[in-house]
Amino acid sequence: MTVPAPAADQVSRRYATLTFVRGALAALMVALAVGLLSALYSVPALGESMRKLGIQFTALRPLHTIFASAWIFLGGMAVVHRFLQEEGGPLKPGERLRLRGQVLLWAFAGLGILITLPLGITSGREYMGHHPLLSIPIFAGWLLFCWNYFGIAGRGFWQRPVYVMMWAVGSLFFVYTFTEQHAYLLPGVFGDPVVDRQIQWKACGTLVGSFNLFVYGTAIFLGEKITGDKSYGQSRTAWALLGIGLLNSFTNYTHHTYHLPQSHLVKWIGFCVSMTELLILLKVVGELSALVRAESEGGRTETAAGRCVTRILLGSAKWWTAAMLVSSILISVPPLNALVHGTYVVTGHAMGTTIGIDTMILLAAMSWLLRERPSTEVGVRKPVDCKQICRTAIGLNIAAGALAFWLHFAGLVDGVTRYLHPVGAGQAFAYRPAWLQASIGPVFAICGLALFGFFVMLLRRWVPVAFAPFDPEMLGEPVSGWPLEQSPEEREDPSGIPAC
Amino acid sequence: MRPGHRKLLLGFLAACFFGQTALVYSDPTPTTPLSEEALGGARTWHANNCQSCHQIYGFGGFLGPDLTNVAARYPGTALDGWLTHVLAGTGQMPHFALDEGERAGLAAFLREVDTTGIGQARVGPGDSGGFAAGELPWWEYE
Ligand code: HEC
Ligand code: HEM
Repeated sequence: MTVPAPAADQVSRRYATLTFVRGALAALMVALAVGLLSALYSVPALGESMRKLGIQFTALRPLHTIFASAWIFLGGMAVVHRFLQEEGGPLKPGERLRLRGQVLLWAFAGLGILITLPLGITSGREYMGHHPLLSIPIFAGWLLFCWNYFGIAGRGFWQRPVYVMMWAVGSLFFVYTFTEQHAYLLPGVFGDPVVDRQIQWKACGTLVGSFNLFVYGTAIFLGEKITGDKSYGQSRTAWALLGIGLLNSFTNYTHHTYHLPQSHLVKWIGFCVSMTELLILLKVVGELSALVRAESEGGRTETAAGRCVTRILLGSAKWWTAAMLVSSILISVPPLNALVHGTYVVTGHAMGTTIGIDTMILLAAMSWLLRERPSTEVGVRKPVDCKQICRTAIGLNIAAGALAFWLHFAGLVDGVTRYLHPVGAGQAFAYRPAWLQASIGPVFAICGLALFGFFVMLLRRWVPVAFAPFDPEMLGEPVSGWPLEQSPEEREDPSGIPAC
Repeated sequence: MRPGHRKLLLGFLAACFFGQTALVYSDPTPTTPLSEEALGGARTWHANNCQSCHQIYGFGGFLGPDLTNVAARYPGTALDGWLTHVLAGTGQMPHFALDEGERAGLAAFLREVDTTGIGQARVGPGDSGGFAAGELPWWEYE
């Protein structure tokens, strides 16, 4: 279980990976804290008290969505740097400079957003709620990253595994979509609310496509590393998934725009492509059953047991994919879309996918990356993966499931009520049944609190490992899920999964 | 998958992306730019981040209602009065200290947005453009 001693030039690359892991976890913690506050805000009495304390939802929501996206991008980027660790060779001076620039620019942007939004400085836009000036360091950081990434991954590009392509397309997509998100700065776009929304929805679709590519790439890379089987990244199915997934990511946002006055052709394309998601769904379910079968036939190996949290998180992402595709197909069928669009169903879908799929895969990746830290560096053997943590991962899924279910359910009730009892001229806004009006905020807050609690239980274990000081001299045995000096026979638990 | 096929796949996807982009940017559906007053309202809307709780065409946060067609329910100057009322702070909507000009701008903005189309499948009884029950032409929402 000793990691092969990395070459001296590997040290910097290892540090780069760790830096992105830390950044990702920090962004996740911010997203969770403001997410919880936003959910509490939806309880009227609590919202009132928060306003008195000067805590505004207008700052909380953009902070939440920005840092949630940052967590996804940074988590993916940590894995990309883990890949570069193997492929990059010695870190060249120019590359090091760009890497430093990227980290500093993003740290500046992150802190800037964290300070300016609560002060009420905002663009007032969805997902990009920060002041547009802060977009400059973010954008510049991406360009520096692309330069470094393509400098290494560009060599022999067409022979490389599918995840290299996914990250490449994801980065280019980001650069494109980020620019497009700022189209509103043009007076011609800002001054035409319909055109503004046409472009904004399109850009958001691509943004989601971009981070999905980072996450899918991560999942395949992780699978390859854990199983040691390099064939999947080269397989026809993996490439087909890239194709269908990508096609979807730039057309299926149109299920949000069925009602927008625009060309029907765009809607038709969106509808048809959305339906191809069914193919992915079938594929995913197929792979899932194969996975379960293989596991029951093969039994649990020692390494598999030590990776219980990685396995649980990856496994749950598959179930979430299936569930969220059903939800997305429902949103794509026009009469149903008409019912539920503009309700909490959309939030349920957005959070269901970002938490259930993206976050689960990224947490699995974090567990794997953190376990690689030399235990000598971390000081003591801090468990990253053990029985209690695995239980936490299950609890996390249940709480996230409850939150997503509640949002879908509440949104559906809203949609049906809105349809059956439209609000007439001069009438006040209440279209929601009284029981839902009374319960929607509290249940949201309770589910949010539970989810937050499970995240805290998990991060309480991982954050000390991630933030233990980096020591370039320290190499050796990785942090592991259980005391390494114990042999499997010595362990009391026959399942081989250690207690914490 | 062979490199040649990979290039083909990527080329195909890039073509689709640019095709889709061209389609969106050359959309022939006629739209109307905002008037000067409504443009001021749009700026107030952004500066106060109203969209963190409200949607226009379903785009925005979900704590408050979609406002695409709120003007249809408050015809004429009724909307100005209603805005003054809600901006003072309701149950969940915070108080916004806006002056009369800003409120008038917001009202103009919401009135002009209302004329562009229907923000939700059904926002009001027939007259404001809603559909009759059982009649949801899926491809045509405007
Ligand atoms: C913190 C969330 C929040 C913010 C920010 C917010 N609103 Fe509201 N707004 C609400 C809620 C919630 C309602 C529904 C009334 C209620 O339950 O209090 C509402 C109601 C309204 C209504 C009446 C809607 C109807 O259907 O009759 C209008 C108009 C409105 N808001 C305009 C605005 C404008 C303009 C801004 C920005 C200056 C804004 N709101 C910012 C939460 C918010
Ligand atoms: C403690 C856990 C969390 C809580 C309580 C929470 C709560 C919330 C709340 C209250 C909103 C605003 C809904 C609205 O009114 O529009 C929201 C939106 C959102 N959240 Fe979370 N959140 C949590 C974790 C996360 C995580 C981990 C992610 C992803 C990494 C995430 C992604 C999102 C996204 C993408 C939106 C925007 C949804 C939309 O389109 O409306 N959330 N969340």
